[in-house]
Amino acid sequence: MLKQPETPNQRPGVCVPWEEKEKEFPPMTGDQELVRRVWQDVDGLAYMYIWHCVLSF
Amino acid sequence: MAKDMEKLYAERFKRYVTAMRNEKPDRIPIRPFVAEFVATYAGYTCQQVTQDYEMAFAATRKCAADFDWDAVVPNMVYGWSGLTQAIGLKYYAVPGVDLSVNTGFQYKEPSEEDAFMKVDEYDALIADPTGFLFNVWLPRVSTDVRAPGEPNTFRNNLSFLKGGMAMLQYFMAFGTQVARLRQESGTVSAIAGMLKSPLDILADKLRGYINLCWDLMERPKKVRAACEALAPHLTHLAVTSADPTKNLPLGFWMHRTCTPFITREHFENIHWPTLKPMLQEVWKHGNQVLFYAEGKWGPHLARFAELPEGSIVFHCDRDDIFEVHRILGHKFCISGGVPNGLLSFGKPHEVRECCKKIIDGVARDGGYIMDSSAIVQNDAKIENVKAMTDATREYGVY
Repeated sequence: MLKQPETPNQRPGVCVPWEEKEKEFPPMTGDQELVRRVWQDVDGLAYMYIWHCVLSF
Repeated sequence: MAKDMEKLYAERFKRYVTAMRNEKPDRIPIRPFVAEFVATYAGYTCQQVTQDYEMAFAATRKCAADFDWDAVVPNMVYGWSGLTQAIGLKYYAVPGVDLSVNTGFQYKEPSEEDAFMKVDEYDALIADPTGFLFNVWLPRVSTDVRAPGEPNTFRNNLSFLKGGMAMLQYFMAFGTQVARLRQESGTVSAIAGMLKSPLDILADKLRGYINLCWDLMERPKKVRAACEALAPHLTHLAVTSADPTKNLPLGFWMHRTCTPFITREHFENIHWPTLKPMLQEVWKHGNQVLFYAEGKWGPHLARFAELPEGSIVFHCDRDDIFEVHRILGHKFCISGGVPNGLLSFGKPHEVRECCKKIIDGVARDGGYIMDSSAIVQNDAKIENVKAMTDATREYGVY
């Protein structure tokens, strides 16, 4: 079994955890889930960048 | 796409995938991992195919078409120096800049004192691997990136912007390259995605090999904890970069984690227990892993045989391929085994004899893919690569 990360900072695919980022937003009037999903997708691109530097180049 | 090219692609795809499932196709697929060889063949220098990936892509397509191979890696000269220079990576030696124009790119390992991760930084890596890479590792490996707290610079900002844009451009270009290989020569892309072991990452990019050897002796628990911290990330990258159709294998590049680079005890207590769960997780997603087993892995083959049937393809470099087949052949497809030295210094008739011997001893019941032992660089003779191809076409029909 893979040992699972214990904190949000250790989670694969994450640079700035959503739990941390969402505190910076004002109370949302619309679809919070949409904001979360897009934030995490774009955050994942930065994750991909640093890990591919280590892994692939 | 021309109908005949699509038909050819479909035939080759079936042949390749059938062999990788350890079954018997119509004939032995040919899938050479050709790197700087493509430059030699297509009339480029190593500098050209390293600095301009479109030249590497074109050279690969020309080889694939002319040699009539079943599958190739879309660009085995994978380290595009446009990207590494944009980021300012110090550990790359680039042909035409740091090396002669006809030497393949190299990795430079720093001295023990200048390791990119210091001995007292294991806990920081374990606590937050991604943060460590951004905040500590990257500023050390890049000429331009500044660590948090240091004065910012224009070059620091540019490194991220240019590096990010260049990486995206490069990765996106592979989609076009894979499509052109299919359309123009009916050639299958040999692999999709990337995997390395945590211990190799520690040696290759963080501590350096010599430092890691000291650490394995002096602080093995820290090394294991670091491997356990890296493993979910490397697995995530493997799974998210793997073939979504579950047909092409993940490339698993195996460097210095076999004996005698590490002891058998370290393999058994640190490397294998942290790697095996990663492989099992990838297989749970339905993706096969191609073990590109550089060097000799003989003492560890029995461990690999523990993995689920069909979950890997074992690529044989310097091991005795007949012994590999005896231990792993009942569960997994085998590839490779034609020595690179033979392709460089041998005669075509010797290459043909070698191929015939491998085919007779390993490929009789299917589950074999013809390839050289290691990636084919610009020292291989064209007539010998042609002999390997022709011999397989001739002897390798079921």
